[in-house]
Amino acid sequence: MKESAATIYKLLGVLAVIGLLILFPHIFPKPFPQHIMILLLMYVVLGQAWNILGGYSGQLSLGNQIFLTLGAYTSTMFLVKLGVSPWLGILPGIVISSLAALAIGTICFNLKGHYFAIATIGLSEIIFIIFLNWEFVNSSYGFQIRFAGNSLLWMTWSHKLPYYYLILLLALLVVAFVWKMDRSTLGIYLRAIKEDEVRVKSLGIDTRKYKLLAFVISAAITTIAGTFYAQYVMYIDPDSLLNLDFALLIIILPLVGGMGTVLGPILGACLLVPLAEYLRTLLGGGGRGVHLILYGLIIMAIAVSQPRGLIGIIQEVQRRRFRRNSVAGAEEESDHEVA
Amino acid sequence: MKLLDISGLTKRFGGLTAVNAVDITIERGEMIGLIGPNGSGKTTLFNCLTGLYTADSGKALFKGVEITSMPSHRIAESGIARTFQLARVFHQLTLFQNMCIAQSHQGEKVIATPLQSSGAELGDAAHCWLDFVGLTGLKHEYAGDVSYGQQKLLEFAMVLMSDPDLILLDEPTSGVNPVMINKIVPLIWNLNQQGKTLFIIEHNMDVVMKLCQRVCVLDYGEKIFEGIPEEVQRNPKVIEAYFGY
Amino acid sequence: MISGQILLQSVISGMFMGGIYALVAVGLSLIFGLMDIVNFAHGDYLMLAMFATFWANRLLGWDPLLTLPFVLVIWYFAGQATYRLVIRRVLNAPMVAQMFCTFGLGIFIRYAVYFLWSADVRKVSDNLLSEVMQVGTVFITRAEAAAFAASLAATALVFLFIKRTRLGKAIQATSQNKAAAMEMGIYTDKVNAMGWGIGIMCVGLGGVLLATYYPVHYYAGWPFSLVAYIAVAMGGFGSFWGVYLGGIIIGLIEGVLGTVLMPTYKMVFVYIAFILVLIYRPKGLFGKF
Repeated sequence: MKESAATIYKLLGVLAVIGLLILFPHIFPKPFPQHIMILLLMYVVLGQAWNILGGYSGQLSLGNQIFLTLGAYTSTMFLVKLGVSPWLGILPGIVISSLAALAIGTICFNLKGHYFAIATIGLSEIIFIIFLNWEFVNSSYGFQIRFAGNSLLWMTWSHKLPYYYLILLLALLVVAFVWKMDRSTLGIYLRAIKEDEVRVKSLGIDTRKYKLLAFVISAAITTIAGTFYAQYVMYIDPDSLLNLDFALLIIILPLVGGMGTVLGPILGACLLVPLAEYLRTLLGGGGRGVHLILYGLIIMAIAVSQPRGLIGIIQEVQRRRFRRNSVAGAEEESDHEVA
Repeated sequence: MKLLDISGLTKRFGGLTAVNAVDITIERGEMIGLIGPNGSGKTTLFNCLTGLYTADSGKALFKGVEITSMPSHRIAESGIARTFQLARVFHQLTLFQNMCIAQSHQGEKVIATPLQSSGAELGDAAHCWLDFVGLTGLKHEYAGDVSYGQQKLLEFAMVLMSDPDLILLDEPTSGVNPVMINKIVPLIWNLNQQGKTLFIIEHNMDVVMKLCQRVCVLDYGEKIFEGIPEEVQRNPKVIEAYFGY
Repeated sequence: MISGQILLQSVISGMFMGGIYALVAVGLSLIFGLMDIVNFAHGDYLMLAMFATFWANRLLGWDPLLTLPFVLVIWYFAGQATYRLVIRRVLNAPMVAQMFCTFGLGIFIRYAVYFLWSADVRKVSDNLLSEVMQVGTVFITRAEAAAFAASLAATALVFLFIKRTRLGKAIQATSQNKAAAMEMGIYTDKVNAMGWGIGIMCVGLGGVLLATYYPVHYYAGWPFSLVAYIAVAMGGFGSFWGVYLGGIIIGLIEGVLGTVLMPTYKMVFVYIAFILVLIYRPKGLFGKF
């Protein structure tokens, strides 16, 4: 009986949050808060996507910005050179990213922890240098997306509201997907792989295939976010997309919030994005980069005390409260017995 | 046909030869023991057989097929299952989820896995084996929260899930209290009665005596003797290996 | 065809740059060998040394050679402090935690510098070492030559220290088998701290030398970090001189292939070589294990 009550509360809670999110732009009609939320939601999408490979299976990639770039460039180039709507442009982007993910995964998955991370950084740098010098993608100039009026077909608007709902929809879909995946066969396999890959292999599972699947899914989602980013910012170039800071921002949410959990990236976003904004307004123009100093400190603090992030902290608190309650309960019982 | 045919298997680590030209054959339905002092290469041999290590020379044939350079998951699929000296179960998953991972994966569609509810097609086999080891009541507990003895039993149930032809047990009674040993030994005996072939590494000579029809002895990577348990206990070479004189 | 002279020039320049890479890599591999931690902040200590050299030059008028001994001493203690305050807490944590920890440290350092001194690129003004010399047909700055010589000397010193002195042997023992070393009474904690001290000191040396001819900005250290990891991987684990050679090789690949094939893509060749080595010789080119 108690269990179903708890589930109903959880469901109501989720619906309430979704309701608030839907109403948000009407509560805060100014463009600036909407911009913040758009960024927050986008980082949630990117963080969840990263989480699928990194958090669940433990293969930490610092190269997801590659897929972001491929997505942004593919849909934009289809738009600018062939006049194809970015909605359709997402599809070739996903194909290219998936192939890239398969290639990268096949070559690099054998690499131990830090070396996989470093290899992905290396690949990101390679692609950066290539894009910077490749005329086909306009080298360092990048592409500018022309404003096509308030159009759903061409994914451009003069105000933030439609962008907001678009990214909200994407974020909700992604979170729902990760929630389902968490409980699925793949979710269990990935968590087992993270804990003891050799053991998983000795039980007859070809771990490579499942890691590749996770990587491809992660890449595909990131690609879609790339198209959104391009359409929102309306200008893409290698510098803004392939720098290491972007890589950092992608992983910091799940890292701080809790890798390998559904709520992790969301909690991380809720903590870090407002914090960054608060610092920015507090320190004005001179505060550039300060939030990153804080991010660095927070990452270190988390690494040192609770690598499982905010979720880990919450679980610890719950466990301690549970222990205290059960000890208290036991004491109560024994009191009664004596009496 | 011999179920497992190992010939001349050798594994070196740098200058150290851990397994040296070992020959062992096992027929279907046998229960064979593998003993030897610490460091004699027993676990290394198991690791070579299950694809964790690649042997430097020699061959191992399982059901007539060479498994010496096959990847681990393929070897497992072909019907060999093993346990580890320190029970290797997944602490972050429940017992039920552990069993889910342990089941046979033949014909599994990788693409479908993200949307498959885990445990959807588990059912009977998992319950049967959890029952066999007496852990049904704990199936929704996390494996990291149960006792070590229970983890050993879980690992046991896990190797049985895939209905293997050959079961490699690496010190099934180590780290376990005598009460639990008295539970595990009959389980192993039962399995053999049901027709499973077992290859067991053990230090506990009582257990070896009770269970095994034949025993192989390794010392410094070489097989120094093979015979029935009584013979092994009396053999001077074996005594020298264990006691040094 | 590329003239022999240009080729020779690129070989020499590449080799000298390789010397710096090697110096940074040796420091990194010392830390990695001791406690299996990849220091993602390694290049940032390099960058800090570069800034120290710049500010000493700008504000105090010091020549980098004067700043050098100060940096060596301070950086040694900075390395020890980093170990005691931060790294020690994640020694037994899972690798993920260790990765975040040094990664976060690097971010902290980089953005603290960005905040303090902005993203402007600085250069250390003309100093004793910026004179260009001509040896045969090859032009080299004194700075480059000095950097190379210093890196060779420093690595040799560290090598001798590790192999010949008692403290050094303690470091060796600890990296090979921590448990055994502890049982033998070696204070692994002190050894670890010393390892960090020496490792960061090497990086500091590299930074001062580099600042004499290389632009200084808050992201300057990162490419050297990256190359250092590559050098350690290429050189192999457990081989000091392998790592040093790894650094030199990378400098050569960058310099020669960059000049001969495509200058803008020179780092690409390095990364490709890296990935190839990781795949085909995961133990590194000269690794023992």
